[in-house]
Amino acid sequence: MRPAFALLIAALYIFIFAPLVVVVVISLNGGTVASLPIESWSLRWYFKAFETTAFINGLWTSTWLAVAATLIAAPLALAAAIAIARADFLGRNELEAFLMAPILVPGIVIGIALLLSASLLQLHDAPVRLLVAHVLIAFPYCMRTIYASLTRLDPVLVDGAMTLGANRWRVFWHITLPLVRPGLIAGMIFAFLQSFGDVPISLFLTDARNNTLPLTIMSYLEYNVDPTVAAMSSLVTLASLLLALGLERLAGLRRALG
Amino acid sequence: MTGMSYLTIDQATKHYGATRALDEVCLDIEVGEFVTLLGPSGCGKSTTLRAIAGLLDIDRGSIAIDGRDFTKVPIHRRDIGVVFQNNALFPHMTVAQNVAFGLRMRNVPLADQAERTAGALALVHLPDFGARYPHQLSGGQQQRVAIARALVINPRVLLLDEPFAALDRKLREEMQMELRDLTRRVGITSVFVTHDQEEALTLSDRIVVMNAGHIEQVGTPDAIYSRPETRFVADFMGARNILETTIVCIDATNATLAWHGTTLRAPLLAHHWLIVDRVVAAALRPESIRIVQLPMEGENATSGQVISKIDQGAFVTLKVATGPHPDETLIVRQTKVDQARNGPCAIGDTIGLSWEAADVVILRDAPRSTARTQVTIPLTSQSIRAARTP
Repeated sequence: MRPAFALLIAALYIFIFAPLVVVVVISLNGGTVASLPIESWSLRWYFKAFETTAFINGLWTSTWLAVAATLIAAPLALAAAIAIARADFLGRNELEAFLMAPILVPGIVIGIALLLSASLLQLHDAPVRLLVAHVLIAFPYCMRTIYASLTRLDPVLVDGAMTLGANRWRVFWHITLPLVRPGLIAGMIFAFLQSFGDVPISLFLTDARNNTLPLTIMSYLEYNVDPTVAAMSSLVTLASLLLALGLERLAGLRRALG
Repeated sequence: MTGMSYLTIDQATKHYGATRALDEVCLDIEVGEFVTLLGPSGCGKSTTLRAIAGLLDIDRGSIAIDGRDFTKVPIHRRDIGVVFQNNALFPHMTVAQNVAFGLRMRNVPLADQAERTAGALALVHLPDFGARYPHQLSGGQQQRVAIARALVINPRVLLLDEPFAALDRKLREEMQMELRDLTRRVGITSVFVTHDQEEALTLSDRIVVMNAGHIEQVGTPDAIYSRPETRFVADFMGARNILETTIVCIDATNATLAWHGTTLRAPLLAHHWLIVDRVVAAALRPESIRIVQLPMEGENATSGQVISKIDQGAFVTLKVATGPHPDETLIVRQTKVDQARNGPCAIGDTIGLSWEAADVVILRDAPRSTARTQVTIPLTSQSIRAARTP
């Protein structure tokens, strides 16, 4: 049973990662068409990717958007998670479900809803519209992991700190925050990646000058078949991987020390 | 009560929905006293402790320390040291940082913090453990750090909520001795919560036995053990023979009781209100009963047949049927030494039993508050208020 299970796991991972490997291999193709087998090995499409203004603009838009959305969503999610984990009030479960809803509602529905709301509110500034939408995307991911960390936090630690003379704010700063930090960091990584990779919601909210990288890649694919897209995708995959690994190590290390 | 009350709890009442977690609890504790709140789970002992610490608000009543009303003072300004059952050490801080936490919250200068932290760790015999993290310590060491952390702030009162419950027996006994020694040396007023009778008897200057949110009895360990006032206290302290007796007559110092043809004499105690012909419960500890030669006659003696026998190491516990009625059984506990002296007895043997009058304790079934109302019952010629026994 055990070898069979291991085989199944291996098969699943291959299923998930094989397409990524294909993309990386194609990006290194010296030929002019994104296809297999490889004609020759080359890095020319990587240079081409960086010469394509649309990609660079998309990369910049997606990056600032993901960073800003994560930094705004994280403290909001922290506050919401603490309220839901600690306090006992009527409609607590409903509030939690409501705050987690952006994960459950299809992105395309959220996108249309935000587009309609934005036009109703005369909100024509694409960066602002996008930022609001991406905070919405980032928020549930932050909240879920922070909430999980909070439920593992023994309330007697808070009692202990208060009897030792800490007021609520100092309890938060010295006890709660350090102990939920791994969950906070993990949530921020998830949120960043979700925001960075989002297509369905952003689709409705961009304009000509503010286009996210995934949308740029999509529109590029409509008219081009060269491996530039593969090169850009490979770079993004690599960056995401390094970010996740790096921050996980940071958070994991802190946790081991604590 | 010899001195002034230092910690005063007055009519503290706390409801959780319809249940009364605390029911008009009144308690006076003197400076430097070590008081244990003892009782089964849900009796209100931990609730009382949390009320003193400020971790919960009482609905009615007041809590004062050294003449100052603390009922409405927030937790972090009470200066009360608390040691929790699972130690509540901060896992992300070193031992030294844990101990210094209370000083840091009081903005004590760094140099003083280091000095006082080192002093507190030395006090609990862990001077070299400052740099470690709590998870690197054993359970006993963690509790010592928790005690150091609570004491370093020079608290008004030290509260301990079943701090040794998770430790094994041997370590628990060591920690009890150490704690008792430590609180004496520091001279701190301490309130300790436990459900363990032995622990309470070992540690305390006074024991407060609680049941269902109210206080059953307050007294020295000896008084609680030897002279329980209520059925609950007698039962909880292991007086397994609680006999439903009828009062036959009362003289100046003793009452004569009848129980299924056996006559018992018991000393009168200050709190007794006895009326001839009334039924009262009398407690008799299993270890107070001696096995004697037959035939038995007279007061405080009976005979019966051994119906069960349990060997418990240092003791042998016998169940003896003294008559045909199912209630007519006595639990007798013999030490192995006594057993060797008297010769072994087997199930089915008929043996004689006897005990001292001083070991029979007349109980009142009702809690203290109800007992007070009995004062209003008109005294008849048959009723005698017991004089305080010398």
